[in-house]
Amino acid sequence: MTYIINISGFMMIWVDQKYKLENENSINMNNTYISNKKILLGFWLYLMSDCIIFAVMFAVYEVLINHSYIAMYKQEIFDLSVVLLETIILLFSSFSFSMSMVNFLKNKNQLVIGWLINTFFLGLSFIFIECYDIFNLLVHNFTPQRSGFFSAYFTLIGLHGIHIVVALIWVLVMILQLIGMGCSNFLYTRMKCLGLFWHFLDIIWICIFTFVYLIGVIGCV
Amino acid sequence: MEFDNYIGLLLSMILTLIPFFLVMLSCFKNMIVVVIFFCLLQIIVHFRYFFQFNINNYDIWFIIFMIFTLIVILIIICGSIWIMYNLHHNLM
Repeated sequence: MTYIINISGFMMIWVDQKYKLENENSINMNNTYISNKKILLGFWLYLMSDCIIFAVMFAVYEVLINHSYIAMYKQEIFDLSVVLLETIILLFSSFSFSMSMVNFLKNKNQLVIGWLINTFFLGLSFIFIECYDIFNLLVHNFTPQRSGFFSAYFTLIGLHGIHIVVALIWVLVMILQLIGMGCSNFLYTRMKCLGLFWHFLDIIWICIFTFVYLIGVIGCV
Repeated sequence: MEFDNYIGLLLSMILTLIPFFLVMLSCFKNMIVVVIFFCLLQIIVHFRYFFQFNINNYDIWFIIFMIFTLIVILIIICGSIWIMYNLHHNLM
């Protein structure tokens, strides 16, 4: 639902070009951006409901990991070096998005786009590594059908991966919009929403690598 | 604000690497508490340095929604683990 609202918002921007041109002078004079509080609050509400969905997935995982026998093979399944690489990549992409936000406030359009492209490629490499990890499991016949533990594991990881893919599409759209109209008050609210979304996904990943991978490995001993 | 980002990157880098190497090098049961502690610390660092989450900047509603969500999450996770543990115990 939120995405539908967002897409309709994007379309309204293209219609309202004239309004933007009138507004732009007043923005550039004092050089400060004002975000739309209502949109931010609505997006925050969406993020919180998303958070509850992830919490339910974590609860299911925690219940199933203790009650399925296949979970004994966790040691072979969880490769911590790959997870460490994924974590560092996601951390750097989060940092890179923050840098693009800083440059947005300084009104440097080129740098904003550069940092966003950097963010995009870091996110893309994260997705590729995650896919490699999942296919590695599937090749060794650890499929979701095998046990409740694997169903919960793949659901949790897959849900996070799908969120990242959606965020990457959003980053691409953002880059196109920035090329089209530069740093303006309209895009400020969008950048803020995207920033909230991206950092939120990073926080979810922190929870995943702690509660799934690290505790999974510790629990084997 | 730019300086904040570098501090955030440095802190979260340290907070990521320490639990990973603790688990990779030496692994014993009591480590779970340490790992969860580092996780909470890193979430706080993310909120402070990347979200730019100041109470002055945001409306009180943001905080209220967050607290409400935290309560719901606490009920869901603690409740389901507690109930399923009891069911498992009764089956034994």
